Amino acid sequence: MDDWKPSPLIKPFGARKKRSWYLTWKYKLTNQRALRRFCQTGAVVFLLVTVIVNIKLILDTRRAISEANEDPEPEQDYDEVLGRLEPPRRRGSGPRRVLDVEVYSSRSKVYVAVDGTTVLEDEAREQGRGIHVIVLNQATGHVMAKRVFDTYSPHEDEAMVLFLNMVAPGRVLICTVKDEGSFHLKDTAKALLRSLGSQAGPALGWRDTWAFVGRKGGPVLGEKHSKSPALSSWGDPVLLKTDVPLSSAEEAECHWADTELNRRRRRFCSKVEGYGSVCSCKDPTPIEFSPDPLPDNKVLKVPVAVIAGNRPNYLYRMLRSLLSAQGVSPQMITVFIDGYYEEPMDVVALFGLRGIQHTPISIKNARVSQHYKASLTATFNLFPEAKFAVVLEEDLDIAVDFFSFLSQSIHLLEEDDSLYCISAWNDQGYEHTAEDPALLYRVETMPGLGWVLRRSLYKEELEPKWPTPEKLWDWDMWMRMPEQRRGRECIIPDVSRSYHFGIVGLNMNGYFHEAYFKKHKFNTVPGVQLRNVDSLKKEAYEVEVHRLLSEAEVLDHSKNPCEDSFLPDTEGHTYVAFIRMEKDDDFTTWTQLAKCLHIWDLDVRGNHRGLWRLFRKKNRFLVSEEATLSHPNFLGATPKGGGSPRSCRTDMRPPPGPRGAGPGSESNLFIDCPEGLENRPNLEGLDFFLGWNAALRVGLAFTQETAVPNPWTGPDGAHMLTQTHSDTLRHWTRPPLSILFVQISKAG
Amino acid sequence: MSRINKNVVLALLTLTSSAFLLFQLYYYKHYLSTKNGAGLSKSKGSRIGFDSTQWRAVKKFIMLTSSQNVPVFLIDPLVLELINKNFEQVKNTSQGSISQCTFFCVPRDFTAFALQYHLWKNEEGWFRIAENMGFQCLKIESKDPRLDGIDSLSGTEIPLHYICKLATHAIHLVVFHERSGNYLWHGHLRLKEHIDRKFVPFRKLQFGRYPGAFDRPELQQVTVDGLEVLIPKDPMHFVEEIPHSRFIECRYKEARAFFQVRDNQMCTCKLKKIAKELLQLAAKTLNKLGVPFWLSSGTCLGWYRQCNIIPYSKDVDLGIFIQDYKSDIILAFQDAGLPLKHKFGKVEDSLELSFQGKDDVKLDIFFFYEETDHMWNGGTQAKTGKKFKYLFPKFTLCWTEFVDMKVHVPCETLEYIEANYGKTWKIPVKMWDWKRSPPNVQPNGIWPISEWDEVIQLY
Repeated sequence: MDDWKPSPLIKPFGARKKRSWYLTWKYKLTNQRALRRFCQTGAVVFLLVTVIVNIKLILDTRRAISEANEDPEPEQDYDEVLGRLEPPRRRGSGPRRVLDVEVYSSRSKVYVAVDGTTVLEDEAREQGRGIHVIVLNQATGHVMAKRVFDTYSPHEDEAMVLFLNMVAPGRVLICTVKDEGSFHLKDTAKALLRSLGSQAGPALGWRDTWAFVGRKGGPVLGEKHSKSPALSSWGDPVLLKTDVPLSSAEEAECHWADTELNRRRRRFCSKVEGYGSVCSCKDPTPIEFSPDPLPDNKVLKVPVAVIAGNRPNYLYRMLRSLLSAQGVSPQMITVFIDGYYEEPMDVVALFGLRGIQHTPISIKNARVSQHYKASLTATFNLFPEAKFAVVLEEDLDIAVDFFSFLSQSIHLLEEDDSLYCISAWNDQGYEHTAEDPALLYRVETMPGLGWVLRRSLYKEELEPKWPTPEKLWDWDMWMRMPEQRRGRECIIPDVSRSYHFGIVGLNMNGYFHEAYFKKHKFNTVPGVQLRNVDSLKKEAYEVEVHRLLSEAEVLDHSKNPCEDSFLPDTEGHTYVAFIRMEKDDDFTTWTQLAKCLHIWDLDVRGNHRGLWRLFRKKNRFLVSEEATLSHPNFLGATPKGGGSPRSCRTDMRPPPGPRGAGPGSESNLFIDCPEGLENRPNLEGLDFFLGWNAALRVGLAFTQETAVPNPWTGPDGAHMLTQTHSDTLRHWTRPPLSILFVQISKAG
Repeated sequence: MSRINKNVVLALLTLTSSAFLLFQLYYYKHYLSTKNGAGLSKSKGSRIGFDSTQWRAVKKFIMLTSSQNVPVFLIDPLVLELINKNFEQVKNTSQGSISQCTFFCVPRDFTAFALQYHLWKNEEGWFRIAENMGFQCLKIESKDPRLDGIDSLSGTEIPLHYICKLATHAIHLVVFHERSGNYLWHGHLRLKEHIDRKFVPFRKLQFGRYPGAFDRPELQQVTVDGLEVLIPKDPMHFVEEIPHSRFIECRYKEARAFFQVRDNQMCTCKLKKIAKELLQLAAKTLNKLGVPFWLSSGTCLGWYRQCNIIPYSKDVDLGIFIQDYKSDIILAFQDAGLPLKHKFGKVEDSLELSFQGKDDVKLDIFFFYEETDHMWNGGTQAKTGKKFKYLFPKFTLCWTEFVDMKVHVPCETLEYIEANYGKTWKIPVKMWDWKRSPPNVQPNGIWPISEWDEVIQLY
């Protein structure tokens, strides 16, 4: 028996032994007794083997287990420490099938509550007038869109019609009126309300209150209305309480093919409304564009930072144009959202881009500039190898050849230290003043609105002294200050590669946009080959400018520069006009001229050493400071005596006096040329528009003239600053129409 | 009768137990084959081992990454070591046919690959395709540490690790992110609450226990066991980095709190900039010599407390282990434009070097001596020849990012700083007496006058 004691290595052993067992067994088969004994022994051996194998298995399993949790501590390294306190999902007895909705409409307050949660509440004075519209998802009850249309004012009803038409059928619509919503509610809008099944909407009268809940293209779920008894009073407040039955999720969604893109689309479309055909069930617009790649793209690896706030519709439009631009690389794009807004994040996710949210710091301009700082720092952190970054804003259209433009010019930023930036925007490039998409300029002012920033400039110069949160400065104005710019210049195209479409914003409103941005020229031609890019380098450019000036024809300065006939009706000529500048920074005459030309006149933009380059009637038009006349040709061309072209020069400077005495001093401007009619906002209008950046402008005047290093610390400065600002705000909300037409008095 | 009964019982028992035994033998064999199947099936046939689960998983994974343009390279230390040993074979087989699976078939639980995130274009479709190919995949995401240094930014989470399992073998895809300072970073593998702890034996992973930092490796394409893969050009350098790759992030949140309490005194910028440049120059010089160093004293405190250079400090302090001392350090610094200012002590005892930077900012290098239970560095008072000893608890070195560089700091930073500055290190002190202020200083006798010429050298 002892011989049979199996070793632990039973497996290979057993296999071999079996054969000899068989032989022994065969041999002993004849002997009953021996057989019986043998069977007994065999059984015992088998039992033993089983026991041993069992033990081995147990031991092995044990070891495997103990190996797996040998020391439990390091195991915790892999455990998420946070997030253990995940709240248990609150879900009562299955999904709810009914929403209870409360809608309140009155003179001074509106609110909407869904299942007891307030989704809209507006009781601010003098705000939120008109029809508030809320769209709910019919399956989940989530708020998908929230809009207010001030149908007291003209054209807002058109926007409302546009919006309501975009809403997908089946959605739950909630409307409520605050204050007044009927004055400019025109027939088209009323017809639309009727088609939604509303009784009172189409008949909405002066200062009526109205609350409405309905399904788009389906039944009305509740409506209340109260007529205003008299012109001077409002209808009684109405409170509408109604139940909205929810439909199933399948009904609420479209049946798009199951692709990665459509999954993004579905996520987006089940959350938000008001983006038109991107959520159309039948024929949705694409969300991937795959524009042509650029041959030899030098900006393929340049990160693109899109600076955004809470204007998701703008962001949507902007990203569409950006992603359609040739040579774009989506993985280089980061969208920085100022605040924890969901909808812009949804837009970013729709396009499959990277989005980063930023907790707002400070207020107004300072908030924007802190957001810029965080975004730029993050961009260079996320792309540590990048030498440049493209900075865009959410209210820009991007030209199809934006990246091609940058790819052709970016080497300048590397090779020329005297450059501050490359910008896609020409401040003076309006429809009537820009012509040549292949032409570039050098300018002393930083235009922003789609530009390239050099890492070294940001990291070594700007970031360390970026305005701190308590300073209500505009980042761009700060960047334009001589302390930052240090005489460097920016490269810009004649025809802008970006278009500023935003009409709501911190520094922006409809009037301002109409006057200064709407008529901006925007390149739509793909693949423009830029001309003579290397002539933009510092020295080469001076040569080029000199050549231009020397071959330019001097305009007849006795004519009124504000009149169309100031430039002859020719094509392809180069003309020059001279203006007087007492000092390098005396731009009064230029500003007046800019006003006439209907270009940017709110501050000086687009100059290069006292020279502005524009197009007029397809001619090159140079505006140059007298002092730059060093060329003999010019002396001949402009005799000094009376009756010379310059006896009536475009001298539009105010009589000598203290500058910076306040905005009022601007009203002394005069022009000593035949009168020109102005139909652009100026004088008071100018002062009014100066509110756009008033804070920094005052600051600039201070730093330049008194050379006080920090004008903000003094109590006086601070006081003045806030004063100006609040004034400005008041102006903004109610612009007096009368100031839009001001005549320049004739002096002399 | 009883005898017969006994026999019957025995026979029955034998029958059942043999049935059990057969079952168990079968099970045991199965168990063994999964554990080291490759080892068993060696040495038969012409294409040996190519049916191992490891090889199949790697092959499928490489097919996937090449078809989806996922920029990966091999970082598995085990395989890289083998490749390094048999590099000739890897090179030769690239043309000829391979007969034996020698690298990817070695028994192991994981094969580790690195993903170069910044080169990756289509992140989205990848996961689904992997699952369609039979992989079971796990994705570990977290917030982006590159945004941590910036006030109040929160972004989309970034992927840190993917673990894709095919049968019993798993591919560990470590996501390498680019960081400022020209290095690659990977994150900590943290399992969220709902993740199956038994998905793979996480403990055996080579990467992910801590965040890690690596020099950006140059890559080369090789054919390993018939599979085209990218590997680091210097595989051994990479493998040697692994055990010392642990990375710690600066405590940005605490640093912000520090600045909120003490208002951010604006700009002694110039001094800060000079100190930063000096540190960068010193780091460059020492890296070129291959001398490992770490941030010590004030510079280390600045990193730990405010994630920056202390604006009013007038020196940059580095620590170096005395065994890493090289005599050409002084020369190298002089060549870099930093003349020696003083040299105290000698290699055997209390060595300390000081170099003169721009604008009176100096670079101090302290050499650390290791004892059984502590480390120390020495100090010398030039006037009196007195020696001092600064004691530190034992520490190891970790990577961190500081002023756009990858540098070492003691992993046990808090202990290190508390030894040097006491528990009140959070309170800035502008007047610091290096002989009296540190709590860890102790007198260490006096240099014999005969040695003064050697151990006190002032320039």
